Amino acid sequence: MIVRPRLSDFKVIALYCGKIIIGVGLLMVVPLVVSVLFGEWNPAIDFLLGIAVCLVIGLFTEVFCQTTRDLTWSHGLVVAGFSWILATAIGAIPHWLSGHFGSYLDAMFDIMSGYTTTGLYLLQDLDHISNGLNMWRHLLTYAGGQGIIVIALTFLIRGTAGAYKIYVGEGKDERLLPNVIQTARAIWLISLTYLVVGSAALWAVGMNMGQSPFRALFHAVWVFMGSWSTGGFAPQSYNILYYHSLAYEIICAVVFIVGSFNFALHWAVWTGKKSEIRKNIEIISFFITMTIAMLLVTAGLTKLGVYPDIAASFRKMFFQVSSAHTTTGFGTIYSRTFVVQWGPLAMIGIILAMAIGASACSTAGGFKGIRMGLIFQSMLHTIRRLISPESAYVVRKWHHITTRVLDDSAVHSAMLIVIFYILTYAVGAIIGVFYGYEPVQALFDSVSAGSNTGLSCGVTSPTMPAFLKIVYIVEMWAGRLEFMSLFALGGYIIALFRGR
Amino acid sequence: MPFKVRLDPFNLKDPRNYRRYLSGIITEVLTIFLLMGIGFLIAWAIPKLIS
Repeated sequence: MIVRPRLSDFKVIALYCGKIIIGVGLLMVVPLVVSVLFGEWNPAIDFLLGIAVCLVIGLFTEVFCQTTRDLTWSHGLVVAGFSWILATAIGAIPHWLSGHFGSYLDAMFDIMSGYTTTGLYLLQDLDHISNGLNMWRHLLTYAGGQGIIVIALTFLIRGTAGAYKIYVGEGKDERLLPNVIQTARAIWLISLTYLVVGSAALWAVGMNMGQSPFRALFHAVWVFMGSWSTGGFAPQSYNILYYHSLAYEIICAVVFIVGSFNFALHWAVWTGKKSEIRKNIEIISFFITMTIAMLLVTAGLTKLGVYPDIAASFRKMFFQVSSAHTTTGFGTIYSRTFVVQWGPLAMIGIILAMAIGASACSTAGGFKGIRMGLIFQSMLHTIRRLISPESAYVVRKWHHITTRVLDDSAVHSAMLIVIFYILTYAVGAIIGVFYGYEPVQALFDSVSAGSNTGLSCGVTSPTMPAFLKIVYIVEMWAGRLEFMSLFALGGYIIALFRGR
Repeated sequence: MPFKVRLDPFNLKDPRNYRRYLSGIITEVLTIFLLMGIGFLIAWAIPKLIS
């Protein structure tokens, strides 16, 4: 029997969604300050309006939805799913008011892309937007990478009983520490330390390239945010190609690959367990699949003779493949280069890398290395069982922070999520083909959206059909939340009409 | 026998924590350079194998 949600259920959900929306409003203070510093008064007013809407909604829920009930698991999942939609709709206000978007849907597309660290964008005339708006775009990806729930957990939600349930709903189901608030703080400690180190390195390179100190600093911080959160937003339309700097590319690659590691792995390495990095199933899986993707792309590039020497081939291949595999979306080639120069084999290598993605409980998207590792281990386990005597009891172990025994339930849930990802990619690709795009190109951009990567071969543009934009928004959202919250939200809506 | 006091990883006043963070960052960055090495090996070997 499906139980129909009661008023008290909605109150709990609204209360926590309201807290998260207040968090979004507080985030807007940063671009507001930047706008004021640069004397950009129109964007400043846009952000003030955005903050006002967030505070009104947040305070409304605080006053009218106060309840003593704590969150249940289904509440947590619904809050995680619904708050992302709400935060997207409200976060789009400054974007829409900036005049750089063809429609409110386009502004929402960019906000969802930012929160989910995808990096696809429909913003027009990127090279001439205000500093405040640029800060907002990059802050979105940085905050989205940590998880907007993590922000709320850190600053706004103090009770720990229900907090973990929303945290899980956001697709981060690992506790680095026994307490979920401490876990959120550990995530921030790692992210902020890298923010300082990475931005300083990019700033130094930027100034060495001839950028003014102020401009170099802002570019460094923005590019860092895009890299670390595996987001892919950059302040210039030519993305990382704009800088034409090997040092800049190396620092970006290091930052986005580190950013794609599991926060639990970071914490283990940072607290003295260095051997974790060579034993961890996700790192082993990432190395293997990255090698396969690099082989495919290099074979494709070599066959077509795209680059004249090994150095140029390595530089372009490694950056694009690692950017795709970590689901970052930074590029040092033009979008159409994939189609007109790289060819289908290299594109398949990139699609494979994007689809797999990087680590769970990180800022990255895709199937995730842990699931690929588990499925591969399960295959080996099955073969081992088949060749062993019937009476033998075969045990297979895998390592992620602790050594565990491979069990059917872990493999089953890994396979289930991978199937959902494949279905999501396929649906987006089929709809793209329906609108007249080439199958490989439609698949490329669909996988890019569903895996929260952000590389595009030219399908994603302001002129694409509105329905395809909505499909990509849903793909980004579903891919980021790993479907669980999506199903919970769907179940809640069904229960609303069919429940008793 | 003296017992080992566990380090609070959030205590930013303790310089030992900074050493541990730096050591962690270096380990992670070196792992990525290893990956880059594999990439360079592939970019060097594949053209030789194909041609």
